[in-house]
Amino acid sequence: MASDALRMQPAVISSALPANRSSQTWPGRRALHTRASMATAEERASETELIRQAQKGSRPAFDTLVRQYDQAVLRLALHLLGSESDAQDIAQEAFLKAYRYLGNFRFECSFYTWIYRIVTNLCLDLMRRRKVRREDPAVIVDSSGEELDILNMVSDERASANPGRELERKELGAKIQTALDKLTPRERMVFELKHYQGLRLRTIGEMLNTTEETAKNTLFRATKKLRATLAVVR
Amino acid sequence: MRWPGHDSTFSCDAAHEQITLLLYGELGDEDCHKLEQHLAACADCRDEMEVTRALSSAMAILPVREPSPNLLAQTRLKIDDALEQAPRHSWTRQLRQSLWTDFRLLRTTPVAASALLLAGGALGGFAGLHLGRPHQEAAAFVDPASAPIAGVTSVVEDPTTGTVRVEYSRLVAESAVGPAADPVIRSLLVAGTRAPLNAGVQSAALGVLANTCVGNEACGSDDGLRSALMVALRYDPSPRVREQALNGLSPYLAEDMHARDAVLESVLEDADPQVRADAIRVLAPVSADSSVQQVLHTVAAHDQSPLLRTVSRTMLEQMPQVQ
Repeated sequence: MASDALRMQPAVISSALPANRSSQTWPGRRALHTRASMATAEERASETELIRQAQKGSRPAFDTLVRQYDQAVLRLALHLLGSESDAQDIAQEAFLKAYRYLGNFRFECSFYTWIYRIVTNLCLDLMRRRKVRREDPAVIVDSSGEELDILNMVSDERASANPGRELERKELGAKIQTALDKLTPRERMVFELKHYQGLRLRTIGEMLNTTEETAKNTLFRATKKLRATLAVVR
Repeated sequence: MRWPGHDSTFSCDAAHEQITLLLYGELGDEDCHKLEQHLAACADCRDEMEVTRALSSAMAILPVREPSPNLLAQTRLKIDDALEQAPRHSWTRQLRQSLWTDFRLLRTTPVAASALLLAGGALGGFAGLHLGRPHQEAAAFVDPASAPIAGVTSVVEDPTTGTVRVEYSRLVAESAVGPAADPVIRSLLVAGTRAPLNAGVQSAALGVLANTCVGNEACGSDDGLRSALMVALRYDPSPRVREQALNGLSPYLAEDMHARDAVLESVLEDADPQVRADAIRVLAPVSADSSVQQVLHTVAAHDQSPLLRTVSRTMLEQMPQVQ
Protein backbone atom coordinates (compact mmCIF):
# COMPACT_ATOMS: atom_id res chain seq x y z
CA MET A 1 0.00 0.00 0.00
CA ALA A 2 1.20 3.42 -0.92
CA SER A 3 1.13 4.74 2.58
CA ASP A 4 3.29 2.10 4.25
CA ALA A 5 6.59 3.94 4.19
CA LEU A 6 5.02 7.07 5.51
CA ARG A 7 3.58 5.22 8.42
CA MET A 8 7.07 4.56 9.71
CA GLN A 9 6.64 7.81 11.56
CA PRO A 10 3.96 7.69 14.19
CA ALA A 11 1.38 10.36 13.59
CA VAL A 12 -1.67 11.29 15.53
CA ILE A 13 -4.42 10.43 13.12
CA SER A 14 -7.81 11.96 13.36
CA SER A 15 -10.74 11.25 11.13
CA ALA A 16 -12.05 14.74 11.61
CA LEU A 17 -10.49 18.06 10.72
CA PRO A 18 -8.07 19.46 13.24
CA ALA A 19 -9.76 21.92 15.53
CA ASN A 20 -6.97 24.39 15.06
CA ARG A 21 -6.23 25.10 11.43
CA SER A 22 -3.51 27.51 12.27
CA SER A 23 -0.05 27.50 10.79
CA GLN A 24 1.14 25.23 13.58
CA THR A 25 -0.51 22.29 11.84
CA TRP A 26 2.43 21.97 9.48
CA PRO A 27 5.91 21.96 10.96
CA GLY A 28 7.61 23.90 8.21
CA ARG A 29 5.58 26.97 9.01
CA ARG A 30 7.79 27.76 11.96
CA ALA A 31 10.63 29.33 10.08
CA LEU A 32 10.12 32.44 8.03
CA HIS A 33 6.50 32.24 7.16
CA THR A 34 5.22 35.70 7.72
CA ARG A 35 8.34 37.75 7.93
CA ALA A 36 6.97 40.23 5.47
CA SER A 37 3.60 40.50 7.14
CA MET A 38 5.09 40.57 10.62
CA ALA A 39 7.23 43.58 9.85
CA THR A 40 5.85 46.59 11.65
CA ALA A 41 5.10 49.81 9.85
CA GLU A 42 8.09 51.36 11.58
CA GLU A 43 10.41 48.58 10.38
CA ARG A 44 9.08 48.90 6.86
CA ALA A 45 9.59 52.66 6.87
CA SER A 46 13.10 52.20 8.17
CA GLU A 47 13.84 49.57 5.54
CA THR A 48 12.43 51.78 2.81
CA GLU A 49 14.74 54.56 3.92
CA LEU A 50 17.70 52.16 3.92
CA ILE A 51 16.86 51.06 0.39
CA ARG A 52 16.61 54.64 -0.78
CA GLN A 53 19.96 55.47 0.79
CA ALA A 54 21.52 52.38 -0.78
CA GLN A 55 20.06 53.32 -4.14
CA LYS A 56 21.79 56.66 -3.83
CA GLY A 57 25.07 54.84 -3.33
CA SER A 58 25.34 54.47 0.45
CA ARG A 59 27.35 51.35 1.11
CA PRO A 60 26.65 51.33 4.89
CA ALA A 61 22.91 51.35 4.14
CA PHE A 62 23.33 48.40 1.80
CA ASP A 63 25.47 46.60 4.37
CA THR A 64 22.66 47.00 6.89
CA LEU A 65 20.23 45.45 4.42
CA VAL A 66 22.64 42.57 3.86
CA ARG A 67 22.86 41.95 7.60
CA GLN A 68 19.08 41.85 7.84
CA TYR A 69 18.74 39.10 5.27
CA ASP A 70 22.00 37.18 4.99
CA GLN A 71 21.20 34.62 7.66
CA ALA A 72 17.79 33.77 6.18
CA VAL A 73 19.26 33.57 2.69
CA LEU A 74 22.02 31.28 3.88
CA ARG A 75 19.57 29.08 5.77
CA LEU A 76 17.39 28.65 2.69
CA ALA A 77 20.28 27.92 0.32
CA LEU A 78 21.90 25.53 2.78
CA HIS A 79 18.79 23.44 3.28
CA LEU A 80 17.95 23.49 -0.39
CA LEU A 81 21.38 22.72 -1.80
CA GLY A 82 22.87 20.68 1.02
CA SER A 83 26.31 22.21 0.56
CA GLU A 84 27.86 24.93 2.70
CA SER A 85 30.14 25.95 -0.10
CA ASP A 86 27.31 26.26 -2.65
CA ALA A 87 25.14 28.08 -0.11
CA GLN A 88 27.94 30.58 0.51
CA ASP A 89 28.41 31.13 -3.22
CA ILE A 90 24.69 31.65 -3.71
CA ALA A 91 24.47 34.15 -0.85
CA GLN A 92 27.49 36.06 -2.16
CA GLU A 93 26.18 36.17 -5.72
CA ALA A 94 22.68 37.11 -4.59
CA PHE A 95 23.81 40.14 -2.62
CA LEU A 96 26.22 41.15 -5.36
CA LYS A 97 23.36 41.08 -7.85
CA ALA A 98 21.16 42.98 -5.45
CA TYR A 99 23.91 45.60 -5.12
CA ARG A 100 24.26 45.95 -8.87
CA TYR A 101 20.58 46.07 -9.65
CA LEU A 102 19.22 47.84 -6.58
CA GLY A 103 18.58 50.82 -8.79
CA ASN A 104 15.95 48.77 -10.61
CA PHE A 105 14.04 48.07 -7.39
CA ARG A 106 10.83 50.10 -7.67
CA PHE A 107 9.14 49.18 -4.36
CA GLU A 108 6.50 47.24 -6.26
CA CYS A 109 7.06 44.29 -3.95
CA SER A 110 8.77 44.00 -0.59
CA PHE A 111 12.55 43.94 -0.51
CA TYR A 112 12.19 40.56 1.18
CA THR A 113 10.36 39.17 -1.87
CA TRP A 114 12.83 40.82 -4.22
CA ILE A 115 15.96 39.40 -2.58
CA TYR A 116 14.33 35.98 -2.30
CA ARG A 117 13.46 36.14 -5.99
CA ILE A 118 17.14 36.61 -6.75
CA VAL A 119 18.14 33.79 -4.42
CA THR A 120 15.54 31.33 -5.67
CA ASN A 121 16.52 32.03 -9.28
CA LEU A 122 20.17 31.40 -8.51
CA CYS A 123 19.33 28.20 -6.63
CA LEU A 124 17.09 27.00 -9.45
CA ASP A 125 19.89 27.59 -11.96
CA LEU A 126 22.30 25.61 -9.83
CA MET A 127 19.84 22.76 -9.29
CA ARG A 128 19.19 22.58 -13.03
CA ARG A 129 22.90 22.45 -13.75
CA ARG A 130 23.24 19.66 -11.21
CA LYS A 131 20.47 17.70 -12.88
CA VAL A 132 22.14 18.06 -16.26
CA ARG A 133 25.51 16.99 -14.84
CA ARG A 134 23.74 14.23 -12.89
CA GLU A 135 25.52 15.29 -9.76
CA ASP A 136 24.41 13.65 -6.61
CA PRO A 137 23.05 16.48 -4.50
CA ALA A 138 22.56 14.13 -1.58
CA VAL A 139 26.31 14.27 -1.01
CA ILE A 140 26.77 17.15 1.39
CA VAL A 141 30.05 18.94 1.63
CA ASP A 142 31.17 21.59 4.05
CA SER A 143 32.90 24.80 3.07
CA SER A 144 36.30 23.12 2.98
CA GLY A 145 35.05 20.50 0.52
CA GLU A 146 34.91 17.71 3.07
CA GLU A 147 32.07 15.30 2.59
CA LEU A 148 29.61 15.21 5.45
CA ASP A 149 27.31 12.48 6.51
CA ILE A 150 23.87 13.69 5.55
CA LEU A 151 22.43 11.41 8.16
CA ASN A 152 24.03 13.51 10.83
CA MET A 153 21.38 16.04 9.99
CA VAL A 154 18.80 13.54 11.14
CA SER A 155 19.34 13.79 14.81
CA ASP A 156 17.36 12.59 17.73
CA GLU A 157 18.12 13.65 21.25
CA ARG A 158 17.05 10.23 22.43
CA ALA A 159 19.52 8.52 20.10
CA SER A 160 21.82 7.31 22.81
CA ALA A 161 18.88 5.83 24.65
CA ASN A 162 17.62 3.99 21.61
CA PRO A 163 20.21 3.31 18.89
CA GLY A 164 17.83 1.10 16.94
CA ARG A 165 15.35 3.88 16.58
CA GLU A 166 18.09 6.32 15.59
CA LEU A 167 19.17 3.96 12.82
CA GLU A 168 15.59 3.77 11.61
CA ARG A 169 15.38 7.55 11.59
CA LYS A 170 18.59 7.82 9.60
CA GLU A 171 17.35 5.33 7.03
CA LEU A 172 14.14 7.26 6.67
CA GLY A 173 16.11 10.50 6.38
CA ALA A 174 18.14 9.05 3.51
CA LYS A 175 14.96 7.90 1.77
CA ILE A 176 13.39 11.30 2.14
CA GLN A 177 16.48 12.99 0.71
CA THR A 178 16.34 10.63 -2.26
CA ALA A 179 12.66 11.43 -2.74
CA LEU A 180 13.36 15.17 -2.62
CA ASP A 181 16.11 14.78 -5.19
CA LYS A 182 13.66 13.19 -7.60
CA LEU A 183 11.54 16.33 -7.75
CA THR A 184 12.10 18.78 -10.56
CA PRO A 185 14.03 21.90 -9.45
CA ARG A 186 10.85 23.95 -9.51
CA GLU A 187 8.87 21.40 -7.51
CA ARG A 188 11.72 21.15 -5.05
CA MET A 189 11.80 24.91 -4.72
CA VAL A 190 8.08 25.27 -4.13
CA PHE A 191 8.13 22.43 -1.62
CA GLU A 192 11.11 23.96 0.18
CA LEU A 193 9.56 27.40 0.38
CA LYS A 194 6.22 26.05 1.54
CA HIS A 195 7.05 23.09 3.71
CA TYR A 196 10.40 24.02 5.21
CA GLN A 197 10.46 27.80 5.01
CA GLY A 198 6.74 28.18 5.67
CA LEU A 199 5.97 30.92 3.12
CA ARG A 200 2.49 31.67 1.84
CA LEU A 201 1.67 30.30 -1.61
CA ARG A 202 0.94 33.82 -2.78
CA THR A 203 4.41 34.95 -1.74
CA ILE A 204 5.96 31.89 -3.38
CA GLY A 205 4.12 32.74 -6.59
CA GLU A 206 5.48 36.29 -6.44
CA MET A 207 9.01 35.08 -5.86
CA LEU A 208 8.90 32.61 -8.70
CA ASN A 209 7.18 35.04 -11.08
CA THR A 210 4.10 32.91 -11.33
CA THR A 211 0.56 32.78 -9.93
CA GLU A 212 -0.59 31.47 -6.59
CA GLU A 213 -2.63 28.85 -8.44
CA THR A 214 0.44 27.56 -10.29
CA ALA A 215 2.40 27.45 -7.05
CA LYS A 216 -0.44 25.50 -5.48
CA ASN A 217 -0.51 22.98 -8.33
CA THR A 218 3.26 22.59 -8.20
CA LEU A 219 3.10 21.96 -4.46
CA PHE A 220 0.40 19.37 -4.90
CA ARG A 221 2.40 17.63 -7.63
CA ALA A 222 5.49 17.64 -5.41
CA THR A 223 3.70 16.09 -2.44
CA LYS A 224 2.20 13.39 -4.66
CA LYS A 225 5.60 12.55 -6.09
CA LEU A 226 7.15 12.43 -2.64
CA ARG A 227 4.49 10.07 -1.42
CA ALA A 228 4.90 7.83 -4.44
CA THR A 229 8.69 7.70 -4.10
CA LEU A 230 8.57 7.04 -0.39
CA ALA A 231 6.07 4.25 -0.89
CA VAL A 232 8.34 2.62 -3.49
CA VAL A 233 11.50 2.83 -1.46
CA ARG A 234 9.74 1.13 1.40
CA MET B 1 -15.38 8.74 -5.00
CA ARG B 2 -19.01 9.88 -4.99
CA TRP B 3 -21.64 8.85 -2.51
CA PRO B 4 -25.36 9.49 -2.20
CA GLY B 5 -26.55 12.61 -0.51
CA HIS B 6 -23.38 14.64 -1.02
CA ASP B 7 -22.25 17.33 -3.38
CA SER B 8 -21.43 15.41 -6.52
CA THR B 9 -19.14 18.20 -7.74
CA PHE B 10 -16.74 17.67 -4.85
CA SER B 11 -14.66 14.73 -5.97
CA CYS B 12 -12.13 12.80 -3.97
CA ASP B 13 -9.39 14.21 -6.23
CA ALA B 14 -10.41 17.72 -5.24
CA ALA B 15 -10.55 16.64 -1.61
CA HIS B 16 -6.99 15.28 -1.82
CA GLU B 17 -5.74 18.61 -3.08
CA GLN B 18 -7.62 20.46 -0.38
CA ILE B 19 -6.25 18.17 2.33
CA THR B 20 -2.76 19.29 1.34
CA LEU B 21 -3.84 22.93 1.41
CA LEU B 22 -5.54 22.43 4.76
CA LEU B 23 -2.45 21.02 6.35
CA TYR B 24 -0.43 23.92 5.00
CA GLY B 25 -2.94 26.43 6.40
CA GLU B 26 -3.92 27.61 2.93
CA LEU B 27 -7.55 26.46 2.79
CA GLY B 28 -10.35 29.01 3.03
CA ASP B 29 -13.10 28.65 5.62
CA GLU B 30 -15.80 27.71 3.16
CA ASP B 31 -13.69 25.06 1.46
CA CYS B 32 -12.71 23.80 4.85
CA HIS B 33 -16.34 23.30 5.75
CA LYS B 34 -16.99 21.38 2.54
CA LEU B 35 -13.95 19.23 3.12
CA GLU B 36 -15.09 18.47 6.65
CA GLN B 37 -18.43 17.22 5.35
CA HIS B 38 -16.69 15.15 2.71
CA LEU B 39 -14.30 13.58 5.18
CA ALA B 40 -17.10 12.69 7.56
CA ALA B 41 -18.53 10.40 4.92
CA CYS B 42 -15.47 9.25 2.93
CA ALA B 43 -13.15 6.70 4.49
CA ASP B 44 -10.70 6.85 1.56
CA CYS B 45 -10.18 10.56 2.00
CA ARG B 46 -9.74 10.15 5.74
CA ASP B 47 -7.03 7.66 4.91
CA GLU B 48 -5.58 10.17 2.47
CA MET B 49 -5.47 12.76 5.20
CA GLU B 50 -3.74 10.33 7.52
CA VAL B 51 -1.07 9.61 4.93
CA THR B 52 -0.57 13.27 4.10
CA ARG B 53 -0.07 14.10 7.74
CA ALA B 54 2.34 11.22 8.06
CA LEU B 55 4.31 12.70 5.16
CA SER B 56 4.51 15.94 7.09
CA SER B 57 5.84 14.15 10.15
CA ALA B 58 8.35 12.22 8.08
CA MET B 59 9.62 15.36 6.38
CA ALA B 60 10.35 16.89 9.76
CA ILE B 61 13.22 14.43 10.00
CA LEU B 62 15.32 16.78 7.83
CA PRO B 63 14.82 19.98 9.82
CA VAL B 64 15.89 23.44 8.70
CA ARG B 65 18.85 24.38 10.83
CA GLU B 66 20.35 27.77 11.41
CA PRO B 67 23.73 28.21 9.68
CA SER B 68 26.56 27.90 12.17
CA PRO B 69 28.06 31.18 13.45
CA ASN B 70 31.28 30.22 11.73
CA LEU B 71 29.62 29.71 8.38
CA LEU B 72 27.69 32.93 8.77
CA ALA B 73 30.85 34.86 9.62
CA GLN B 74 32.72 33.37 6.66
CA THR B 75 29.84 34.17 4.34
CA ARG B 76 29.69 37.75 5.55
CA LEU B 77 33.38 38.15 4.83
CA LYS B 78 32.89 36.73 1.34
CA ILE B 79 29.98 39.07 0.69
CA ASP B 80 31.97 42.04 1.96
CA ASP B 81 34.92 41.12 -0.24
CA ALA B 82 32.69 40.74 -3.26
CA LEU B 83 31.02 44.08 -2.62
CA GLU B 84 34.39 45.78 -2.17
CA GLN B 85 35.47 44.54 -5.58
CA ALA B 86 32.18 45.36 -7.24
CA PRO B 87 32.32 48.45 -9.42
CA ARG B 88 30.96 51.46 -7.65
CA HIS B 89 27.94 53.13 -9.15
CA SER B 90 29.03 55.64 -11.75
CA TRP B 91 28.19 59.25 -10.92
CA THR B 92 25.76 59.39 -13.84
CA ARG B 93 23.93 56.36 -12.54
CA GLN B 94 23.87 57.75 -9.03
CA LEU B 95 22.55 61.04 -10.33
CA ARG B 96 19.90 59.27 -12.40
CA GLN B 97 18.92 57.17 -9.40
CA SER B 98 18.86 60.14 -7.11
CA LEU B 99 16.66 62.09 -9.51
CA TRP B 100 14.36 59.12 -9.95
CA THR B 101 13.99 58.63 -6.21
CA ASP B 102 13.33 62.31 -5.65
CA PHE B 103 10.87 62.37 -8.53
CA ARG B 104 8.94 59.48 -6.99
CA LEU B 105 8.68 61.41 -3.75
CA LEU B 106 7.55 64.52 -5.57
CA ARG B 107 4.81 62.66 -7.37
CA THR B 108 3.10 61.91 -4.11
CA THR B 109 3.54 65.35 -2.59
CA PRO B 110 2.06 68.71 -3.51
CA VAL B 111 4.54 70.79 -5.42
CA ALA B 112 4.50 73.68 -2.98
CA ALA B 113 5.23 71.37 -0.08
CA SER B 114 8.00 69.80 -2.10
CA ALA B 115 9.53 73.17 -2.79
CA LEU B 116 9.45 73.96 0.90
CA LEU B 117 10.98 70.59 1.70
CA LEU B 118 13.72 71.10 -0.85
CA ALA B 119 14.50 74.55 0.48
CA GLY B 120 14.47 73.25 4.03
CA GLY B 121 16.56 70.28 2.99
CA ALA B 122 19.14 72.54 1.43
CA LEU B 123 19.39 74.65 4.55
CA GLY B 124 19.34 71.61 6.79
CA GLY B 125 21.95 69.92 4.65
CA PHE B 126 24.22 72.93 4.93
CA ALA B 127 23.72 73.05 8.66
CA GLY B 128 24.13 69.30 8.96
CA LEU B 129 27.29 69.42 6.90
CA HIS B 130 28.65 72.10 9.14
CA LEU B 131 27.57 70.45 12.38
CA GLY B 132 28.29 66.87 11.25
CA ARG B 133 31.97 67.53 10.77
CA PRO B 134 34.08 67.55 13.87
CA HIS B 135 35.25 71.06 14.46
CA GLN B 136 38.50 71.62 16.14
CA GLU B 137 38.71 74.66 18.34
CA ALA B 138 41.57 76.24 20.21
CA ALA B 139 40.87 76.56 23.88
CA ALA B 140 39.90 80.15 24.60
CA PHE B 141 42.09 80.55 27.63
CA VAL B 142 45.33 79.73 25.85
CA ASP B 143 47.40 82.47 24.30
CA PRO B 144 49.67 80.71 21.80
CA ALA B 145 52.44 83.21 22.53
CA SER B 146 52.54 82.17 26.17
CA ALA B 147 51.91 78.46 25.69
CA PRO B 148 54.59 76.20 27.15
CA ILE B 149 57.47 75.22 24.90
CA ALA B 150 57.33 71.57 23.91
CA GLY B 151 60.82 71.38 22.51
CA VAL B 152 63.59 73.02 20.48
CA THR B 153 64.19 71.37 17.14
CA SER B 154 66.99 73.43 15.63
CA VAL B 155 69.62 76.06 16.60
CA VAL B 156 71.55 77.87 13.85
CA GLU B 157 73.96 80.77 14.52
CA ASP B 158 74.64 83.34 11.79
CA PRO B 159 78.23 84.58 12.37
CA THR B 160 77.87 87.52 9.98
CA THR B 161 74.97 89.12 11.77
CA GLY B 162 75.56 87.58 15.20
CA THR B 163 71.95 86.34 15.39
CA VAL B 164 70.77 82.88 16.30
CA ARG B 165 67.80 81.10 14.67
CA VAL B 166 65.96 78.78 17.08
CA GLU B 167 63.14 76.57 15.85
CA TYR B 168 60.78 75.27 18.48
CA SER B 169 57.23 74.15 18.98
CA ARG B 170 54.71 75.12 21.62
CA LEU B 171 52.02 73.07 23.27
CA VAL B 172 48.67 74.59 22.36
CA ALA B 173 45.58 72.99 23.89
CA GLU B 174 42.84 72.29 21.43
CA SER B 175 39.61 70.37 21.52
CA ALA B 176 37.61 68.64 18.85
CA VAL B 177 33.92 67.90 18.92
CA GLY B 178 32.20 65.34 16.70
CA PRO B 179 30.72 61.87 16.53
CA ALA B 180 32.94 59.10 17.84
CA ALA B 181 32.90 57.30 14.50
CA ASP B 182 34.40 60.28 12.71
CA PRO B 183 37.95 59.55 11.47
CA VAL B 184 39.42 62.68 13.10
CA ILE B 185 37.82 61.98 16.45
CA ARG B 186 38.77 58.33 16.22
CA SER B 187 42.42 59.09 15.54
CA LEU B 188 42.41 61.38 18.60
CA LEU B 189 40.82 58.64 20.68
CA VAL B 190 43.48 56.17 19.52
CA ALA B 191 46.10 58.71 20.58
CA GLY B 192 44.29 58.96 23.92
CA THR B 193 44.76 55.25 24.51
CA ARG B 194 48.51 55.88 24.44
CA ALA B 195 48.43 58.47 27.24
CA PRO B 196 50.30 56.54 29.92
CA LEU B 197 50.40 59.46 32.32
CA ASN B 198 46.66 59.84 32.45
CA ALA B 199 44.85 56.56 33.21
CA GLY B 200 41.45 58.27 33.20
CA VAL B 201 41.93 59.53 29.64
CA GLN B 202 43.21 56.14 28.54
CA SER B 203 40.21 54.35 29.99
CA ALA B 204 37.67 56.83 28.65
CA ALA B 205 39.17 56.73 25.15
CA LEU B 206 39.15 52.95 25.12
CA GLY B 207 35.58 52.81 26.37
CA VAL B 208 34.36 55.09 23.59
CA LEU B 209 36.37 53.24 20.95
CA ALA B 210 35.15 49.84 22.06
CA ASN B 211 31.53 50.96 22.09
CA THR B 212 31.83 52.63 18.71
CA CYS B 213 33.59 49.72 17.12
CA VAL B 214 31.15 46.95 18.03
CA GLY B 215 29.09 46.27 14.94
CA ASN B 216 30.64 49.16 13.02
CA GLU B 217 31.97 48.05 9.66
CA ALA B 218 34.06 51.18 9.37
CA CYS B 219 36.31 49.85 12.12
CA GLY B 220 37.45 47.01 9.86
CA SER B 221 40.25 48.96 8.23
CA ASP B 222 41.45 50.82 11.28
CA ASP B 223 44.61 49.01 12.32
CA GLY B 224 45.59 51.71 14.83
CA LEU B 225 42.38 51.17 16.71
CA ARG B 226 42.81 47.41 16.61
CA SER B 227 46.34 47.62 18.01
CA ALA B 228 45.20 49.98 20.75
CA LEU B 229 42.47 47.57 21.77
CA MET B 230 44.89 44.63 21.84
CA VAL B 231 47.39 46.57 23.95
CA ALA B 232 44.64 47.51 26.38
CA LEU B 233 43.39 43.95 26.60
CA ARG B 234 46.87 42.68 27.40
CA TYR B 235 48.19 45.40 29.67
CA ASP B 236 45.50 47.70 31.06
CA PRO B 237 45.28 47.34 34.85
CA SER B 238 41.53 47.99 34.93
CA PRO B 239 39.30 44.92 34.35
CA ARG B 240 36.56 47.21 33.08
CA VAL B 241 38.83 48.64 30.39
CA ARG B 242 39.95 45.15 29.41
CA GLU B 243 36.32 44.09 29.05
CA GLN B 244 35.69 47.11 26.86
CA ALA B 245 38.69 46.20 24.76
CA LEU B 246 37.33 42.65 24.42
CA ASN B 247 34.01 43.93 23.13
CA GLY B 248 35.78 46.25 20.74
CA LEU B 249 37.92 43.44 19.35
CA SER B 250 35.06 41.01 18.79
CA PRO B 251 34.24 42.17 15.21
CA TYR B 252 37.84 41.46 14.16
CA LEU B 253 38.11 37.92 15.45
CA ALA B 254 36.84 36.19 12.33
CA GLU B 255 39.57 37.62 10.14
CA ASP B 256 42.43 38.72 12.37
CA MET B 257 44.54 35.99 13.93
CA HIS B 258 46.43 38.52 16.05
CA ALA B 259 43.22 39.76 17.61
CA ARG B 260 42.15 36.16 18.16
CA ASP B 261 45.48 35.35 19.81
CA ALA B 262 45.12 38.32 22.11
CA VAL B 263 41.72 37.10 23.23
CA LEU B 264 43.02 33.55 23.68
CA GLU B 265 45.81 34.92 25.86
CA SER B 266 43.18 36.72 27.85
CA VAL B 267 41.27 33.46 28.34
CA LEU B 268 44.38 31.78 29.69
CA GLU B 269 46.13 34.55 31.57
CA ASP B 270 43.86 37.41 32.56
CA ALA B 271 43.84 38.02 36.30
CA ASP B 272 40.10 38.65 36.42
CA PRO B 273 37.79 35.59 36.07
CA GLN B 274 34.96 37.71 34.66
CA VAL B 275 37.20 39.06 31.91
CA ARG B 276 38.28 35.50 31.11
CA ALA B 277 34.64 34.37 30.95
CA ASP B 278 33.80 37.27 28.66
CA ALA B 279 36.78 36.39 26.49
CA ILE B 280 35.38 32.87 26.08
CA ARG B 281 32.01 34.33 25.18
CA VAL B 282 33.36 36.56 22.40
CA LEU B 283 35.21 33.59 20.91
CA ALA B 284 31.91 31.81 20.16
CA PRO B 285 31.75 32.81 16.46
CA VAL B 286 35.25 31.41 15.86
CA SER B 287 34.91 28.34 18.05
CA ALA B 288 35.66 26.08 15.09
CA ASP B 289 39.26 27.30 15.07
CA SER B 290 41.48 24.50 16.38
CA SER B 291 43.54 26.85 18.53
CA VAL B 292 40.36 28.14 20.15
CA GLN B 293 39.20 24.60 20.76
CA GLN B 294 42.54 23.66 22.24
CA VAL B 295 42.40 26.54 24.70
CA LEU B 296 38.81 25.73 25.60
CA HIS B 297 39.68 22.07 26.20
CA THR B 298 42.59 23.13 28.41
CA VAL B 299 40.45 25.47 30.47
CA ALA B 300 37.57 22.98 30.66
CA ALA B 301 39.89 20.25 31.94
CA HIS B 302 42.41 21.99 34.13
CA ASP B 303 41.37 25.48 35.13
CA GLN B 304 41.11 26.23 38.81
CA SER B 305 37.96 28.29 38.42
CA PRO B 306 34.75 26.21 38.34
CA LEU B 307 33.01 29.07 36.52
CA LEU B 308 35.51 29.01 33.68
CA ARG B 309 35.50 25.23 33.48
CA THR B 310 31.73 25.33 33.12
CA VAL B 311 31.72 28.13 30.56
CA SER B 312 34.35 26.38 28.43
CA ARG B 313 32.59 23.06 28.66
CA THR B 314 29.29 24.66 27.63
CA MET B 315 30.93 26.33 24.69
CA LEU B 316 32.52 23.06 23.57
CA GLU B 317 29.19 21.27 23.84
CA GLN B 318 27.47 23.90 21.73
CA MET B 319 29.94 23.62 18.89
CA PRO B 320 28.66 22.16 15.64
CA GLN B 321 29.44 18.46 15.66
CA VAL B 322 30.74 18.42 12.11
CA GLN B 323 33.29 20.96 11.03
